[in-house]
Amino acid sequence: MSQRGRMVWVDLGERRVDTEAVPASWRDLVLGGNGLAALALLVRQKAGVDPLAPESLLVFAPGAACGLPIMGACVAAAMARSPLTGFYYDSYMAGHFGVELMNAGCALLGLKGKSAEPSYLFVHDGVVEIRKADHLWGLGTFATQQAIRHELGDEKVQVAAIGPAGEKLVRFACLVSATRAWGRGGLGAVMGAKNLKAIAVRGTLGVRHPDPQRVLAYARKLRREMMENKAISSSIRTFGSAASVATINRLGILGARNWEQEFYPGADAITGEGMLQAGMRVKGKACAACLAASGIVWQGVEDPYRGIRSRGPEYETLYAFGSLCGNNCASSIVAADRLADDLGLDTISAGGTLALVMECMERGLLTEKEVGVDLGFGRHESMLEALKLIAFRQGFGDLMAEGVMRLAQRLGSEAEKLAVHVKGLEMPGHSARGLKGMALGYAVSPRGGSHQDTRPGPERSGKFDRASWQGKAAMVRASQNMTAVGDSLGICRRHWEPYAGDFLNERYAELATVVTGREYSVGELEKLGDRVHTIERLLYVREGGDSRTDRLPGRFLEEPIPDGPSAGMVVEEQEMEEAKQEFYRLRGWDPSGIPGPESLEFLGLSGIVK
Amino acid sequence: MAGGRLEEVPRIGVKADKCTGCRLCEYVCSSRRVPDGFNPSLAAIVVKFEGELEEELTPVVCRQCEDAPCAEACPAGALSVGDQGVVLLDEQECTGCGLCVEACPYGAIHLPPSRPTPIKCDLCGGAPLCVEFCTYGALALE
Repeated sequence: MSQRGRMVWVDLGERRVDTEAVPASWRDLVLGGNGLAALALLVRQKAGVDPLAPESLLVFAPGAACGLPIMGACVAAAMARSPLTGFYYDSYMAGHFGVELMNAGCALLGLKGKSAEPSYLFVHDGVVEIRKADHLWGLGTFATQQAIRHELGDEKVQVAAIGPAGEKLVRFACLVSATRAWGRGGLGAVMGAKNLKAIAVRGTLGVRHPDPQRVLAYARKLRREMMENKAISSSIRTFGSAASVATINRLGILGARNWEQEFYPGADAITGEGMLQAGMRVKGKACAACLAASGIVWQGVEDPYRGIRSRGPEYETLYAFGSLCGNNCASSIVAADRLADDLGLDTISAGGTLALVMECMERGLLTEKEVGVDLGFGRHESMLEALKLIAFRQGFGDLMAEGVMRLAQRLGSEAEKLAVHVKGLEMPGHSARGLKGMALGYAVSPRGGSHQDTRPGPERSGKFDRASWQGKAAMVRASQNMTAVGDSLGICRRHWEPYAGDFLNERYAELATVVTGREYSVGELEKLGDRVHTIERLLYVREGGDSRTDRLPGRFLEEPIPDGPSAGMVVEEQEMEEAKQEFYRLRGWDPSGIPGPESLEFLGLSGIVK
Repeated sequence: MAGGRLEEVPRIGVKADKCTGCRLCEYVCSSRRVPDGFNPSLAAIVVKFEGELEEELTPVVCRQCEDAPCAEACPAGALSVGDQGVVLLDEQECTGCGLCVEACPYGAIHLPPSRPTPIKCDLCGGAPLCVEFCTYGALALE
């Protein structure tokens, strides 16, 4: 790993800041970003810490490539024990915050303790100020960012803030910075529990590199080769991730109506094309060093949402507030996206929670009187009402704010049958029944229902047979290794999946070599991926996770997809258990899915892990 | 601002509606004066972010004005129009007073706290890096 940045630890209770170099032994093991965040938590935090207690650590780590003019280099990790899953959650945000943090000299920013009064941090070139935030408490994320920039008198300050949802400790509250987010896992609640409203950062130190001309030469090559790839330079620039709705529905694997169905007849209105034709596209925005500009600003065209703009919705939100909720009013999804950003709510978990309530109401397990809102599949106006109730924990919103797993537990066993989540994390828009590799990937992800450990691309594109379990254990491991390395370098998958591919190869090795200034082979990158995943697995295991908790919701095991192009597909439990065992074996873990001493030895972790 | 400029004077032309805010121009520009890395704070081109969703993006860079206000304001004579019409800064003569920064109507000349002399665009001697790296057509050598 390059010498960029130091670790800055802030104790909000004692109001103390300690800075240290990244230990040499750590530098050799992990690149930055994902790897550094996970290793720091494994070493510096003990097992059993309550995610919302003062001693709970919340760490931020920009990817090793942040600050370099390398296309797609902008992603930063945020990681802590999740109040939603009880395991660890690593979230990733693009935009400009990570680069600013790196330019401020921070390879890692670690927060512990609880501030006595509402505060925000201002990190500037290695100096950390803890500032009063009483006047900001209660504000939405956009207003918070504007107020802080105004107060600090610097337009170039980047701000990551929680909204009312984080303040109210909603279990799936998020952090928002400009128009990007550390969306999942409830890290917004971890921050809210620390009485921390926002983190502002300004970095003018720059980032060092041993051979800047080599970086520029490499960037020239990337520019040329990426622009030749139409997926990056054309399709995603037009539609952003909204392009995926049509593709996924055509395969009959678009989660609809709380995953009762996976083919959504109303999908046309919420596809990228549909929205473009309806005149909803405003423009595309880019993150730092970005060539894809897939951050599309969309606007509502139907009353009462006409004129409401959002930087989004992304595919996941078009699924979560769209098909999942039986809603095909695209304008309402733009409005809900904007509202969720401002309130500081993860759109995927929010949509999943609403969808459960909608199905419960349909089946008579909940009444409108109890819920307080006329929620039902397709009732988009009620959907927006409900988001506010959740963010402020008002009325039934207080229970919805707990997320699908706990909500269903409260409602009873009939509701639990309808609860679609993995390890407490609500499902993203990629089918487990329709993509067997993803089924395995979800089950063994240390995060739970995340589509960012194992990726859906290889099966969805047809490179792998999505209906078969054959070779999927190896595919899952290879996919996870790519995502771990990518998230440690901090590079955007919208560039690198189309350009370099779904698995580690020479293009990734060249990237790692140029970024760090030291030779990396594909084999070394695979080992790095293995290592980061094992570190994450250790974090999972020490909070009680193992093979028994590596499981999928009942709906995916017991209810085949009822109709559409993928009708009949289901997750076969026996095959999944076999695939899990093969996966553990490939990773060097025992049949319970626990990493053993040989595995740690091989990955160079024995000295670090007690 | 003084009207008219020589047709042949090169400068960076900006099409703000094409800018997406990727800031690659800032990173690569900085390499001209940062020997060991990259630092957008030391770029001669800066992207302004405005609007509710930061969707109004404007690259700001020296327009190589004919009757350059920065040159007029400079008490040390450190700013002058070179052969090609490019407004050049002589770092030896510069005292770092910052009057040029105040004089520029576009905010296109910067004096960061860490630097003794201001930063302004010199077109990279003829092959501007920002133009080369912009993939959206927002910048052109005119």
